[in-house]
Amino acid sequence: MKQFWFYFKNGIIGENPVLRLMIGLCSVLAVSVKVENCLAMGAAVIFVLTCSSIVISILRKGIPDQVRIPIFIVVISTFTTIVDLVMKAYLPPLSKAMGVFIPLIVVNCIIMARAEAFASRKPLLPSIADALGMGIGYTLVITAIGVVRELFGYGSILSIPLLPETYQNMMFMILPPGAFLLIGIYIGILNHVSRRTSK
Amino acid sequence: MKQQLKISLTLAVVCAIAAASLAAVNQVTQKAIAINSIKELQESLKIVYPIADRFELEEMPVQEVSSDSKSHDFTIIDQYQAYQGDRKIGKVYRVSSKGYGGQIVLLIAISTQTNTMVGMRVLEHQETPGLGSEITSSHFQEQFHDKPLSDSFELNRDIQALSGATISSRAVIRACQGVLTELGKEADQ
Amino acid sequence: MNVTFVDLFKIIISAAFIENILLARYIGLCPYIGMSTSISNSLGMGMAVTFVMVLSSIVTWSLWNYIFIPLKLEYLRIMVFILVIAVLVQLVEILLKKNLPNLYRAMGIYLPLITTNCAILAVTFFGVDYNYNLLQVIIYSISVALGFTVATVLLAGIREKLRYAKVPSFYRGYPMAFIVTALLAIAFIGFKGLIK
Repeated sequence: MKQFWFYFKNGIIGENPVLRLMIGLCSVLAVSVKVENCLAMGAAVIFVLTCSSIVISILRKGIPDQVRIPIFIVVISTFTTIVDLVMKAYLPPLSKAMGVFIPLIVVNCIIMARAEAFASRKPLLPSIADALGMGIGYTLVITAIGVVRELFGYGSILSIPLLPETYQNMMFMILPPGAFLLIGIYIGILNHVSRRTSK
Repeated sequence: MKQQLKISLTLAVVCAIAAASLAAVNQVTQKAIAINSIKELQESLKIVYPIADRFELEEMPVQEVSSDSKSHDFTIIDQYQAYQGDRKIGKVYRVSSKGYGGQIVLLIAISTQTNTMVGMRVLEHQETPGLGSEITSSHFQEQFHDKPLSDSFELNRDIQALSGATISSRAVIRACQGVLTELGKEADQ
Repeated sequence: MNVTFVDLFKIIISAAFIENILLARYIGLCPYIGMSTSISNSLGMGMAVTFVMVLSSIVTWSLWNYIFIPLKLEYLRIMVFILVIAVLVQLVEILLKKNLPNLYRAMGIYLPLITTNCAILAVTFFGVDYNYNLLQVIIYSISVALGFTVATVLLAGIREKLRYAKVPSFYRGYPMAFIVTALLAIAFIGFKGLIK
C-alpha cells in the first residue's frame, strides 16, 4: 500500500510529467485557454493513460520485445479512439473545442513514455498508481495554466465571469506567446521551490 | 522461425482485438454522432429564425460543382425553406465565406414576406480571438437583425466593421451580398 | 480542379510561417524543446522530420482516400496513421544508422521520439481534413516541416548564445527556452498580415 502512494505522489510532484519530465507539452498549451477544456483534457488523459497502463501491465510478460512499440501504439490508440468517438457522440461542443488534440492524445509523450518506462515492467497495482499519479499531475498543471489564461484572457473561470465588465481582455494570454511565457515561469518557479526544499 | 511466428501472431492478435473493440464502439456511437450534427443544425436554424417552426432542406438550384470549396471566397453550402405551419415564410442559407483565419460558416435568414434579413448566425470560424472572433458577438450580429434587403450592405457605410477586424467583417458582408445575389437569381427564374 | 501556383504559394506561406505548427498551433513542442540545444541537432532533426512528415502524409492520404473512405473505416484512422508513422520512423532509423552514424548517435532518444512527434500525426490528419489533393498534401507537409525546422533552428541559435548569458539560476535551461519561444511566437504573429 505504501508503494502505491509513493508512485502516486511521484507522478504529481517528484516526477511531474509536464514540469519535470517535459513531456505532454503540446496539449497543455493548446487546450488550456478555458478551464473546462483543461478538466476535460485531464479526464481524457487520465482515462487513456490508466486503461493503457492496465492492459500493458497485464500483458507485459507476453509481449515480445521487438514488437513492443507497435503493440503499445495499438493499445493506446484504441483507448484514444474510444475517447474520441464517445466525446463526439455525447459531448459534441467539448469535442469541437478540443479539436485535433483529442486524437493527438495517442502521441501524448506521457502515455508512451510511461508505457515504456513503467507499465511494461511493473505489476498491475503500481502501474495503476503511476498512471493515476501522472494523469493527475498533468491535470493539475494544465488547469493551473488554464486558470491564469482564462482569468486574464476572458475575465472568467469555468465561464463564470469573475472580473468586472470593464476589464479589457488580455489578448496576450489567449495567444501562444502568453502560454509559452506562463509555462516557462511555472517551470522556473518549480525549480526554485524544489531547490529550496532540497537544501 | 518460431520466434518470428510468435511475434507476428501476438501482433496480429492484439490488432484484431483492438480493431474489433473499436468497431463495436463505433457502432454504438455512430448514431449519436449523426443525431448530434442534425440537432445542432436544427437548433441554429431556430435561433437565427425564431418565428419559424420548421425547416426543410431545399433542392439547390444548379450551380457549378466545385470539389475544393474550402478556398472559395463564397459558397452556398445548402439552403432551407422556413415554414410557419404550412406557410412558407422565408429561407435560411448556410454559406461559407473566406475570412482571415479560414472559412467562416454562417446562417443567413431571409423573410420572403417582409423582404428583410431576419438575422445572421456564425456557425464556425477560425478568426483571431478577441478581434475577428467578435463577429459572433451580439453587438455585431444585431446589425443584421430585421434588415431591409434593399439596404446597400456596404462596409462602414451601412454595416459597421469590427475595429481591427476588417477582413472578418468583410467576409460576413460578402456572405450577405452573395445571398442577395442568389435571391435575385431565384426570383428571376 | 484548378489549383493555381498562387494557391500553392499561399499554402507554403501559411503552413510555414503564418500558422507555424510550433509557434502558432502548439504542435510538436516536445522534440522542439528537447533538440533545440544546438543548431546542428536542430538541422538534423529538421531533416528527419521533413522526410518522415512528407512520406507519411503521402501514404496516409492515399490510404484514406483509396481504402478508408470506400470501406467506411474512418474510426480506425488514429490507429493506422500512427502505425504508418512508426514504421516509417523505423526505416529512417535503419537508414541513418547505416549511412550517417554520427547524426544517429547525436539524436539519441529523439529519433524514436519522432514517432510521438505530434506534428507528424497532426499533419497527416490535416492533409486529409482539409480536402487537399495529392499535390497540395505534398506541398503542405513540406511547408510545415520547413516551418518546424526554421523555428527550431532559430531557438537553437538563441539558446547557444544564451549559454554565455547571465540567466537567473532557476530560469536556466528549459524555463528560458520557453520564454524565448514566447518572443519568437510574438515575432511570428507579425506574419499574419501577409496573406489576405
